Amino acid sequence: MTRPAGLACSLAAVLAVLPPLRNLLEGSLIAHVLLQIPMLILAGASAGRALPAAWQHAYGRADPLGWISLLVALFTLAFWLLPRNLDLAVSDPQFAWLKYMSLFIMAGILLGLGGPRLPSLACHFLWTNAAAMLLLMGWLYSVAPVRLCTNYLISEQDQLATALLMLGALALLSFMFSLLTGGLYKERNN
Amino acid sequence: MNGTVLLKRYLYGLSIALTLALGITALTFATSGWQAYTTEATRRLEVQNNPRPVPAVTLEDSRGRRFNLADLRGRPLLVDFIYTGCADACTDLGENFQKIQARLPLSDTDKAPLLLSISFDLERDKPAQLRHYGKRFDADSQRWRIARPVSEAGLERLLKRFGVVVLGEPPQYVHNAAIYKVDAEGQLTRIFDYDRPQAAIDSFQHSS
Repeated sequence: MTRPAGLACSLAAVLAVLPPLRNLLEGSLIAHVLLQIPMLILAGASAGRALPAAWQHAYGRADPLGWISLLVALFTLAFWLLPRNLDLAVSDPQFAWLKYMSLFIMAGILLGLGGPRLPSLACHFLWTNAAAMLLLMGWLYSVAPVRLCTNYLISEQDQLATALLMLGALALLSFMFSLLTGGLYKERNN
Repeated sequence: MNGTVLLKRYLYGLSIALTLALGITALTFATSGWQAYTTEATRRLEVQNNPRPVPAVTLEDSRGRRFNLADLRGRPLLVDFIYTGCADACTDLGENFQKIQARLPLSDTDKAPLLLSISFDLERDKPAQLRHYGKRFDADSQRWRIARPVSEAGLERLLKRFGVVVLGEPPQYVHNAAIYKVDAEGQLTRIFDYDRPQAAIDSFQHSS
């Protein structure tokens, strides 16, 4: 990732948390979870990749295999995917800023720094795990008899469930495709 | 492999374990000890652990009488939030309050629980609409009062204290419907599912 691209991604994140776009994104559950949150993480990751090489190197000394960055990012994401925190981020402006900053820095920048250091085994594990989590979340949201978020309608919950199930299936299929085309095999030979 | 490398690996492993422990601790706090994942579960847990006083808000009932919610002390209350234009969930709420009215003990009317339905649709629900709602569910005015806050500000305070979130535009609202128990000291102590009136009834049998 080049520095201008990193800057562009960060700019997108800034736009996503300022009033016009922010209201649009947070006004719908599906845009909140599947657009704004990924946007913040991606922007943070690009910003992390664009940091000076000396910083990358210094980070590598503390977290040589990227495991810490991965764990912190996963915990941060899990925190914001809890329906009660998603609700609070909508109704409490201070909590909203906590969400933007923590996703950008703790999930995004940290992954940008540590992600490239992750062993390929961790990436495969993550990929299958992400597929399983998406399918599980989609299933949970689709069978929940009540609204899980006080600030969103049940129809939006159903939309999110469908989208999560589709994404999960897509993640699983693309992983299987990479197995068939020998993605794993090639890496082992390298 | 020399000692420095080993020590570095050891420290790295330790910091990974520490990150894991910190993350799990943070999530434990964030879910109130793995008990509450949703806003609804959180407010029920909070109310149950730390009962909160109902706000002193002026209400107007279906006969146009004004009274202060805080002045109802001395009698336990079961409260629900409604709007009379509602067709779905509020019909359930109305029917469930009807059931509660029929099943609650009538022993001493001064101490017997009072049902209180509060409308949040100030624009449409005037005393006439509240009266009509009462008739629809055979509300006995001695045991079931139907009221509305007299001001927007009062309504806001009320909804905030009870943790009620109303979505949508009139006349089609969506809200986190529930049955609220307020004890004789004016403390909100429990929140029940709106479709389980028996749980609300049972709570009086156990406490008395």
